[in-house]
Order: sequence, then structure tokens, then C-alpha cells
Amino acid sequence: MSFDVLITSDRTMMTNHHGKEFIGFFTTSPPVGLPEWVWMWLSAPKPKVDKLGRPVEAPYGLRKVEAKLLDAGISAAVVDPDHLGRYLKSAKVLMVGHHDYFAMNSPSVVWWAVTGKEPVNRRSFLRMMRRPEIREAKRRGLRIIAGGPAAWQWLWNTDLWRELGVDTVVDGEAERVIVDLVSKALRGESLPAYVYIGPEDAPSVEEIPAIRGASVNGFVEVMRGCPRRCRFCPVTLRPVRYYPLEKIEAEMRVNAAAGLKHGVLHSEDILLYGARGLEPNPDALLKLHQLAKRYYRTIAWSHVTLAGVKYAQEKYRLITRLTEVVYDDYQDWLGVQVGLETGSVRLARVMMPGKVAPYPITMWHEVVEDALAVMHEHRIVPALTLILGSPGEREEDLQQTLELLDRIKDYRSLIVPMFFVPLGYLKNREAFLRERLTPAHAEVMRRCMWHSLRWGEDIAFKMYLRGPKAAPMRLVFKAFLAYAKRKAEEIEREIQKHGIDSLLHGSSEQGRAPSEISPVAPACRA
Amino acid sequence: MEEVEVLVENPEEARRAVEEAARSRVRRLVLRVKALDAASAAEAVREALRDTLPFTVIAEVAG
Repeated sequence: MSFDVLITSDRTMMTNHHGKEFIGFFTTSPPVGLPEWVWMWLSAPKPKVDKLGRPVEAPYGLRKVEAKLLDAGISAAVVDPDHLGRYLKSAKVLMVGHHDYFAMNSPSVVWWAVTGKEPVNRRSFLRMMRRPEIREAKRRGLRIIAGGPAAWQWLWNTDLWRELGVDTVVDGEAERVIVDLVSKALRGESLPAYVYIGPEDAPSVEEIPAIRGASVNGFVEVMRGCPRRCRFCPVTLRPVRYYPLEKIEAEMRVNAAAGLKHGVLHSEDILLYGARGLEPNPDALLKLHQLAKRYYRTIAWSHVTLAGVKYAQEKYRLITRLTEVVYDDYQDWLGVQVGLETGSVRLARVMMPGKVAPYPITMWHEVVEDALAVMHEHRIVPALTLILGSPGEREEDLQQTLELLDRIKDYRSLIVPMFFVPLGYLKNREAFLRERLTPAHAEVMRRCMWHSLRWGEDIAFKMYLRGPKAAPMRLVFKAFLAYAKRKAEEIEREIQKHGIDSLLHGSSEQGRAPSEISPVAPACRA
Repeated sequence: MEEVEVLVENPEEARRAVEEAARSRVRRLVLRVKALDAASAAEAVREALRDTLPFTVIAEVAG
């Protein structure tokens, strides 16, 4: 058996994270308090593969590329990275995808700056690409095409681009261009260096193929695009397209046939599925969830907005109605990632006015609190992401964020601070800590840490890691939490002794005991 | 305009070509970059691709 086109990624992507997608966050960090192999087992265990080395579950984006090529009659397969060797002698094209090839996205870049250690996602990807069998195949003429949401990172890592012998990088929704590109590669024709796909070349729903093999944790896209138009998000430029239920069902059927019992409904804002503008469509949403529960025992949402939650509940009692569909003997809670982004009304007005709609931007804090209250009551657990260090951010913006964090401290959630790291700092992460982080940032991060430690324990042991199957994970997670708490208490003692500024110098003074860390204020502030 | 092809030699020319394409509302911009290899072509266009653009950009090594 051979394939002309191999589609793959490294272990941090080619895994189901023990069936717990949130554990995927751990692949963005270096190993903390554990050996790397334990960290990798914890965050990215090897998936089940078939006799041909094809993973039972694979990242959804890779599955879409595979389906598009198969539909065009090209011999292609998603292959686990440990099983590439047997195909590389005859394969003509290797396609790789990743969420964060070089740990340049948040939170990887922040963990790297704070710990001074390279995150495992980058280490694992480079390890894979440097394997002798790939290098040998490259010397024989293998064409390498890279893509996925982190494609842009190759532009800023051209030394690795050269070293690894990448021929083409594709950035954006690739359905309209990928068959042509791969056909050219197979014919040995010259390839473009970089393809950035604009909104006009975004595929229609009909051009998007249904996956042929199962996706990681039953992930299924239900729409593309987003009408909220947040400034920091490229998705908003693309047209909004809803998958019809038949198309969604076809993919759920593929996942269920592979034995998956859990699924993730993916959308930038799940409550906008089938919406007219920003007005929710309760009928479409109820049908979508009824359909999902026919194929999956348990489901999660990928993303939802806080304004969407508040509005849908207040106008349609929709959160109650949806959880009535979802909750049963198998499931009594629901996880989702939510962009909290900022507590600053001023910054929210600049960055994301549509994210608060239909409410006025001045109601941002109220929208956040009301939505989190609805979620808490309905056992919907959000992992809230917060953007720090945005261009133009001021001290008073961070003070407002601190006020908001105080207001939401009693709502069950995790809060993950993400730093906006300008490209100029990627070569010098210590300078980023020294020059861009302020005491107010440190205070926000400290509050997030305690909030997440407090609620993390509750969420992990009462919801996420229940049942006998999760026992080993519970054990490791317990040890990790104990370690994290010990470290957090050390940090608190350090703050008591030297003030919050001392947190800003943890990386540049690595290897020194906390008591030796200088409490000197940063040289320059954002 | 559907598609425009421009020969560029350096980041400054690439930036100008992208700005002009944005003004002209093209659908696709093909940047033929005088460079030794794909990575060098990427170095010439990367500053021009920092922002999210409303059209497709294809960077090719000009042979």
C-alpha cells in the first residue's frame, strides 16, 4: 500500500488529548514540574491507528484536506507521524498542518517567556520534521506543503523554512486552491512560495467537503465566518456560511462509525448557527443539538460569546432549552471556550464593538457577569481567554480588567491570560518581559492564576475527570495542581516580601531562588 | 479587477504592490519575487502580509 500524498502533524496535534480537548492547552507549555515524556503523555498521548498507520481520530483541518484530495481522485491519507517512514520512500508530497508550529501564538509564547523554556508543541514539531526519514525523502525530491491556522508563522521563521525544505505555505481556507497546488506538486511543476487566501476565494459550503475519517474528539464544524467583526480576528473578513444539517450529520456519522461517543460543535459563536445577522435562530439551534445527541453521548461547544449567551437566554430562554436537550444520563455539564478579551470598556469599543451586540458597549461588565451567571446556573463551564498587552493598552484598562475579574470571581470558570506579543519580541522573549510587562499585568495574571486554581480543582474533579477511566489522569492532575499551588504560594510570599514587580523578573533571573529575585521595576513600559 | 501580477525585488516594492492592490480592489495579487528560493521570497513579502488583507496574495519566486 502506498499514498502519493501524506498528510500529518506532530504528536501534540495528532492526539485526542485523552478525549479532553481542554488538556490540549498543556501542549502549548514547556513541561512544568514533570519530565517531558510524562508531560507529553499527559497532554498528547498517541492515538489509536489502523494497520496502515492511519489514526482513528485526526485533526479536523487535516481531515478536510484529505477529503478534498480524495474527492479529486488523488491518492492521499492522513498518517500518524510515527508511521510515516513506511510511505516516505514512494510518497511525492508531504503536507503538514499545525495550530502553532513555532510556539508564536499565545499562550505558548507567554509560557516560553515566563519559564524561559521552549514549549513542547514547537519541540515536537521540529523533532518530527528533522527525522532522518523525512530528510532523506526530501533529498529524493519530496515536496513539502505547510498550512493550517499557524501558516503565517513560516514567514517569520525562514531559517527553519530553508532548513526543513518547505516548498509552499498555504494560509487560509484552502479548499479552492489545494487540489491545484497538490496536482502541480505531483506533476513536478514549480510551486508558489506562499499563498494567502482572501475572503473572495473562501469556498462556498458546497465546495467544503465532508470529512472521510473521524476527527479528534468528534469535532464537527457547523459554520464558518463570524459577523461580529472583532479587530483582532481574521475570521470576520470571511463570509458567514452555515452548514446544512445534512452535511453536519454526514460528518457526525463518520465520527460515530469510528466509535466516538463525544463530539465538539465548532463555530466562532455557536449561538449564531443559522442566525439572521446576530439574531439567534432557536429552531435551528435546537435541531442542531438534537441531531448531535443522536450521534454523541456527550458534546461540547468550541466557542460562544457572552453577549450571545445573555441575549439568547433573556429573549428565548434558549440556554435552558438547549441544556434540556443536551443533559441526560451521560452528560450534566458543558464545556466551551469564551473570549473575555478585556475588562476595559474603552478597549472593547476599539477592538470588538460587535462582541457585545446587541447590547451597548457601556454594558460590557454587566453582559459578562449576567452571561457567566447564566452559564454557572446551567453548568456550562467556560475557559475564558483574556488578551493582555494590546496596542494602545493603558494602565486604566488593566484596572478595569481587575475590577471585572473581581466581579466574576464566584462564577465557575477558568481564566487564561493571553499576551499580545509583538513580532519584534519573538527573538528576544526576555526583553518582552522586561519592557512590556507592567505590575498591573502581573496583578491580572496573579488573579487569573488564583481564580483558575480555585475553580480548576472543582471543575477537574467534579466534572472533567470523573469516572474510573479518568483515574490515572486524576492522579497526575492532582500532583500537577499540588505543584502549581505550591508555586503559587511561593509567588504570593515573594509578592508579600518584594511587591508585585518581582514577578516581572522570574525569567531573566532563572535559576535563582525567589528570595534572590530583584524587585526592580521594568525599564520601560508599554 | 480580477487578478494583477507584479514583479517585486524587495520588501518596499512588495508593500507598495499590496497597498495599490487594496486601493484597486483586486481579487488576486500575484507577487513575482526576484529571490533565490521560496524562503527568501517569503522574507521579501512578509511585512506586506502583516495585516489581514481582503484579497488573495500569491508570492512566487521569479525564475
